Amino acid sequence: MVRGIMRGRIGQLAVAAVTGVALACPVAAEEPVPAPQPNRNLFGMTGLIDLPSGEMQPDAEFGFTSSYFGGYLRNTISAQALPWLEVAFRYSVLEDMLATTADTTLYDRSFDVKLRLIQESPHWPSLVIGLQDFLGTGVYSGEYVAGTKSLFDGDLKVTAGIGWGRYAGANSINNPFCRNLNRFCDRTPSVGTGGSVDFGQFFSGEEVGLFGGLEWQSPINGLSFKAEYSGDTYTRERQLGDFQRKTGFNVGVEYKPVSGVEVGAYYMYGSEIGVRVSLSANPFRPLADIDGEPAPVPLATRRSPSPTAGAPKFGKILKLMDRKPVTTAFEDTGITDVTFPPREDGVRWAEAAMPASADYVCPDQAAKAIDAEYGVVDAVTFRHPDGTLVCTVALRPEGASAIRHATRITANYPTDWYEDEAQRTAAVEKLVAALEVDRLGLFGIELGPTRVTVYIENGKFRALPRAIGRTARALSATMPASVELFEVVPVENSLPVVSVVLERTALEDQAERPDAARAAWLMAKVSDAAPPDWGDTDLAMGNFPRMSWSVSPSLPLNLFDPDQPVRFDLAVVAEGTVEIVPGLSLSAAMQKQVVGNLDKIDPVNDSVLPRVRSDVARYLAEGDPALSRLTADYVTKLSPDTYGRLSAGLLERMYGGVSAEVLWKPADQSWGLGGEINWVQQRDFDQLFDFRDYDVVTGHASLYWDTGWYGLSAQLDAGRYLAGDWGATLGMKRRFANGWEFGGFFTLTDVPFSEFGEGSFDKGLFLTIPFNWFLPYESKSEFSTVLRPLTRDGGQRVVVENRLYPMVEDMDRAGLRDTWQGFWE
Amino acid sequence: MRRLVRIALFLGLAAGLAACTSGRENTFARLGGLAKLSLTGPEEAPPAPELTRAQLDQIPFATIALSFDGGPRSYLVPLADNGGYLTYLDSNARGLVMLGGAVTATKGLGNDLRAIRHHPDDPVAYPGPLADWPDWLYRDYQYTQRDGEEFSITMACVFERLARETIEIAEIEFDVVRVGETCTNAVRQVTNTYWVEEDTGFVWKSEQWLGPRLFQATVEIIRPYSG
Repeated sequence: MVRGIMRGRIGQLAVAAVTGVALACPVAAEEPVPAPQPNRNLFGMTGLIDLPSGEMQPDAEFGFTSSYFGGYLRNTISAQALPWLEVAFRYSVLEDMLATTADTTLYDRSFDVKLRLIQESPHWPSLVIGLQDFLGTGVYSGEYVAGTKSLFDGDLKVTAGIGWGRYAGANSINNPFCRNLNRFCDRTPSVGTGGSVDFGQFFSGEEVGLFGGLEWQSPINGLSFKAEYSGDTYTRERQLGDFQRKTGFNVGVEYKPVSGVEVGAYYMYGSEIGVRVSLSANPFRPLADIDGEPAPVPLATRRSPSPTAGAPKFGKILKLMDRKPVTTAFEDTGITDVTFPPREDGVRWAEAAMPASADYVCPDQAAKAIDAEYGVVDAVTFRHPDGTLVCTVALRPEGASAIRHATRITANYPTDWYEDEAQRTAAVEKLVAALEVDRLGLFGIELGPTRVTVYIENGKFRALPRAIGRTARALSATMPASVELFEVVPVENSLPVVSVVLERTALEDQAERPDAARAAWLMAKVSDAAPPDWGDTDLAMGNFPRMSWSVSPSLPLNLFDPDQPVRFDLAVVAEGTVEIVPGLSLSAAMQKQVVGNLDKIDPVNDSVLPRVRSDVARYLAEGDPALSRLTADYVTKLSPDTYGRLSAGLLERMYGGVSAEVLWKPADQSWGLGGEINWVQQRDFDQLFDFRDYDVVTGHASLYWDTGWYGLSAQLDAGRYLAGDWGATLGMKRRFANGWEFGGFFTLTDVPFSEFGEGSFDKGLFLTIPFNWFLPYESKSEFSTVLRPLTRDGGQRVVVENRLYPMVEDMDRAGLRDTWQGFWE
Repeated sequence: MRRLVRIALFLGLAAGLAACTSGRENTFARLGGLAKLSLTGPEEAPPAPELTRAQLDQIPFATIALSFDGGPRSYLVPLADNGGYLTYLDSNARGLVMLGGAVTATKGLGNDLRAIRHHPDDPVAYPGPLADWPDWLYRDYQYTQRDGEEFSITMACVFERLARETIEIAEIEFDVVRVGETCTNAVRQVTNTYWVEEDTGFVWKSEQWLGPRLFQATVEIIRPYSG
């Protein structure tokens, strides 16, 4: 054994580069086992070929399916909204489906929903109930109950079901509901503008159809075969077109070349070839599952205070954490009084009274005896009967940590640095530099001898706790030892939303430990940030006025126009903002089409309402370039939990005016209330500085609620819309910790469905995909879109760029808690 | 043709303009970098130099040699001591954390091991004489997936004294005992190997499993940390 090796100490950052050799990222090939992904059908729902099955996709699976056979093109966006709820929106182009017009092609929008009743188990099949095309023109309207059982380790799946509507054309029996209730006997084909739910049709009709099928997963990975019997007789298709249904049997082959891609080919109804391609994605299955961000700088632990610092409270401090056996029996120690005062941290810290005859030597072996007698004791403090604190013995790492923590709390670090302005300035300058490494901006700072409040602007991390954690590390490295409390206040659009107070001592005892994020969350004190007086905050006013700008590409879309279902522009958007003082800013945005066909939309407009949105074609055709926004905005905090906004100018491409908003949203509360009032006038089609004759006062009262259930949040807006119609919008969305969001909304107003026009009422879907879902590094960028089947005039709101709730919704207690696991990363 | 030219111009313009922002984030520039990387592959790292003991002695700090899956060694020094948890990082801010002889976390490697919950009697983390090592214990490996979800892998680990050996670390020989450790749970079995100083339980060299998507790490203590 060689014993001559020098013992080393901590190095400096610069020395870390001693070898000049960076570590390669050692990622092995082993992949986590993915959740099973059942195949979809031609309708884009989980199923067989043209039929549904009793299966469902993995939770949160999001898919796009395009299928074609017999002249029928179906494009479907589907989502596993909840583990037991699958939903879909479909846009179909169906040839020879209209008998009364010159163009016999039907452009149809439809919605499906499927609910799981029983999850598959060894003895039970999975069982679902579903509504197909329940919110549309009803071309594909049908209801079903289907069950699927997996056999032979899932290689063979057997599906059977009964169906109403489209599913009841063949192989049918009497509808059991009709036998008991007459109202279930009539089922009439839906006609009209679509968009409404005809509850009376559900599960009705004189007959129900029986259907079923098989799916076999071949030994070749990803290759499967399907066969089914469908009761859909395609009656309308046969009557109006030349579709031939020779049999109800369909067969097909499907292949998944890679995860998230399915292709299939089928022989349908004895006469047609069908094809399908499905693409899928899942928030829980990031395309880039590697976080390639460099490690944060380690938390800098302060030098341990002198052991004597804790003496008044603990006596002499010893560690006895070896595994040597107990040498003294508890009965022989003379100790009779052992207590365990309650502690919040769960550490078992005993207090033992020594016998009166004992001297003042620390009975460390007695601590082991106490451990053996009482079981799992982390630390013991011995006190002599005369009141003298003799010693404290740590028996386990938890005990040593608790003693260290308590000693640091007790230690009085010198605060004389605070009297020296140069030292204060130096500390702040070091902090700015440390934050800049992580692209965190120091908006303001209030530095005291034992407490510091920092206002930070997070330019990098999608999850706010990660930014807070990096800030805490920077503070630990730069703040003098006496600064014990770190208050971190994230600032968004110059609004300080929430305050997170962290104990430095606790951080030092949590860093690198297991469950450190959980411990940090339990220690963090989260509350509403007080309205700041920026004039009294160092740095804050020095940042102003300040300017920001960007030039970026844009891809506006127009979907579902019968003349051309997909139109888009490639455009350039230039934006600039001058922030004069915190919260007060001037903003402008210009958009210029580079290439595209949005200006080719037919401007024909049959709306009988004030044309508040339906003239969009003229705006697109005549507004290039467009001054899409030119506003003065003021956002402020009216109280710790109340926010205000005032905007004036050209608010959006179609409207200019004045907008005022108030939001009440305490950080500790899952819900908030808001109110917004706007006076707006319609802009001219050229989108420069002229206005049209139409103006309106519009506004809404809003209720926001984070349900805490599967990440679902709801928003209810009630008030007056742009066309002067009164009503309410209900939106629901599911939000994921990594930034994904998807959901839908609908608006019902006092505009009758017949006046609203096609679609009956305004509705749509929204989707947000964060860039860091597919990029291997941190990014706050995201792709976000709202998908409306139709743009009509009823139920329309003015678009305001900086509404308050989106600014604060991730910064409340629940928002921080959901992403806190990134605090130490 | 004219349309194609306009599209090409747009794409070029967008790529160029994407770099034009006063903000702190330039997503498109980074996207471009990634696209280039996917086409050209990563730049070849320079071959790692094997340092001599004389060279290593020039480093005035505690030092470890780290390699993955038999690859070249990197030499790291600890940048922080958080209650015995030593953080070793290289110049690219990638490295690991050790407690005693145990690697308890990886940093900046992707799919990182976030922490390990060691049993208080775990002799790899809390060294003690080899004679006192327990026969087996539980160990809990903690990870965070990219979607933000956390998960743990808990295994029962059984120690086995394999052989007395003399190993050489940077030109110095050590008389040690090779201890094998087999950790298992219902779906997984992994092995670790420790070269342990018998009297103190100090782990001079180890090969440690770090996670389902990380290579096995080999750690050699060039110069121990002394606090």
